Amino acid sequence: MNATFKMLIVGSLLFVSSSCNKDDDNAPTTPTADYQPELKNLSQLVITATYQNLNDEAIDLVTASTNLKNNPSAITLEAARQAWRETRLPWEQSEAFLFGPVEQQGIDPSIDSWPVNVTDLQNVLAGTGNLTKTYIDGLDGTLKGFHTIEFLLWGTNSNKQISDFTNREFEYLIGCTESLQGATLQLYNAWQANGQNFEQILYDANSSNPYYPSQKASLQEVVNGMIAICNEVANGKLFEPFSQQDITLEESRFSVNSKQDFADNIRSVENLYLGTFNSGGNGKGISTIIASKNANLDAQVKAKITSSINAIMAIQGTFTSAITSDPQGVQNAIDEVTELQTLLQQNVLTTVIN
Amino acid sequence: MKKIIYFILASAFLSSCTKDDNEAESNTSSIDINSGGETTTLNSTSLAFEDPSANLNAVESDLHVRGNLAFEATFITAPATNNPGLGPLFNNTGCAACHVKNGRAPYPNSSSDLGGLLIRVSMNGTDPHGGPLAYPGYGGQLQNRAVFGKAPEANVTLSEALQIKQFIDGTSYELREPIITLSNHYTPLSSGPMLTSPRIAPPIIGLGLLEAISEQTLIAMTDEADVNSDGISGKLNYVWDVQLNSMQPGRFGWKAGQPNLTQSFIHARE
Repeated sequence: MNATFKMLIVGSLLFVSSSCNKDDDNAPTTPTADYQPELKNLSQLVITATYQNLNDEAIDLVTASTNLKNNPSAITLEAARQAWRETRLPWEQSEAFLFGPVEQQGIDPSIDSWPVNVTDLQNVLAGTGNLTKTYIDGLDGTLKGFHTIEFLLWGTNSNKQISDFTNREFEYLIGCTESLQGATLQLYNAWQANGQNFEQILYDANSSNPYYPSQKASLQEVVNGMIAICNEVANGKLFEPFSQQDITLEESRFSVNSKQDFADNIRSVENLYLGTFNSGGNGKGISTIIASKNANLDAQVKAKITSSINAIMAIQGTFTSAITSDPQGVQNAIDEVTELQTLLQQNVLTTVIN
Repeated sequence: MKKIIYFILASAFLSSCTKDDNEAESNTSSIDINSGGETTTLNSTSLAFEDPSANLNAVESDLHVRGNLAFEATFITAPATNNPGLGPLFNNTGCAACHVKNGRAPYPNSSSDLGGLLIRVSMNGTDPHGGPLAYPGYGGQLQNRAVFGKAPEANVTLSEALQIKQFIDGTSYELREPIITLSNHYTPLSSGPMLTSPRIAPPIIGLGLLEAISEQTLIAMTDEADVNSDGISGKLNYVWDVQLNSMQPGRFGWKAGQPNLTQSFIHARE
């Protein structure tokens, strides 16, 4: 580090501190209790573990897509579709923590842009470009990621047959899954300790942490992530197609995976609340903090998470059909998730940060 | 050049203070934490800018939710059932793609993805209302992206030059100056040199409140010659209001180039 650069840093710090004195005085205070065990567990064994699982599944999806091209059959097609579902699960279970690198590094659009730009996709397929990972990396988010892969595997009406695939579609599918896996690897590396280690930034909250000056700030980030996905599920994913009676507004419609998507979003909330992911996690999470302060509230939240997931899965038939055939079921799911959101917003958040 | 450096300084300031700006909640008693009155929300996280005012009623909350869904929508090439109308030329696929989480866009990682950075273009001279003179064939904003099979207005290459500067006390510091280079223009630049100026997508918080400030209040706050010696001087930037057909105080954009939110919104979608 040269002297000028050192001066730059010193100068910057002075600049910041003199500019922001008012706000520094106003910084949140660290809670009396030490919540690093909770934050560490959530960072490492829930969030980073979810991204690791996502990347592992994405690798399997590349393999399944390659198998599909090399041995096209109804069996390899179903295997590729199943690999998509298994990759989709940890992604949906990551959407309660859409903060940090996934947003800062602009990774989300490469993974989960929706709707698919079908017009451009057809033009790309009709063209002659070499459909490599690098080529697809350079395309817009609406031409890659989960929903483009979903469109290629299932078709608009979810009834695509193996005989419907063109060679260009197979090539696009492989390039697209490789591109997706590049994005999931970037995300995993951004969080893991051997990479850019964002997991430590979240759990090691202190006054010199550039993002989280206190544990309270870290916890608030986590709980707000939970609130945000409840809001999106209730007011966006469930309410929009339902209120407008428009199935084309339904995410993951091609794969008929919508209910699973929505339930996994709430499971993402559950994972942060309970401090677990799959068989991992030591159970220290938002729940242990709430339980130590208000056992009733803790029981209420756990029950509302469960009833929200149950209400989503209890929607009759597919979500596509249910928006017309089971309005009560859909409305019940919206109400349950909205109540969960309210509980998190009005009770959990204030309990955690006070 | 000077403008660009100021732009970087401003960016550094904003990014340095974003965290602290959001730390509204506190146990310290000297500062009123409800500085926004009944609109105040206490949120110190990366989602802070997405909170609506705290005092919205049910109808207003619903409006906010609906508006926010539109703001976060991704647009695609027509024909399409959902969100058609992207292109053939564009800067980004939706509002939130630039104004990430309603905040300032991050500085781009590479020329291949400018994200929320766009390039204003103009030619020498001013328009009939004293504003920048749009470049024939390009307008006032370069569309550096295009739907598949179409060429953008030009390709943008972003590089950096290191500027070594000194504070008044002699302490040196470095700034990275973005260098914008355009190539492959879709049509020749036949009207003389094209002037360029980079713009990073700004935060969009509190704009309704800014719009509600009366012109008289703004006039009363002008202090072009720093008469009150507080070290701050400034005057209103009067710009053309298309709907009112008259010059009005500019309020929005990095250079206060737009007089109201409607015009600002339409301009951003150009």
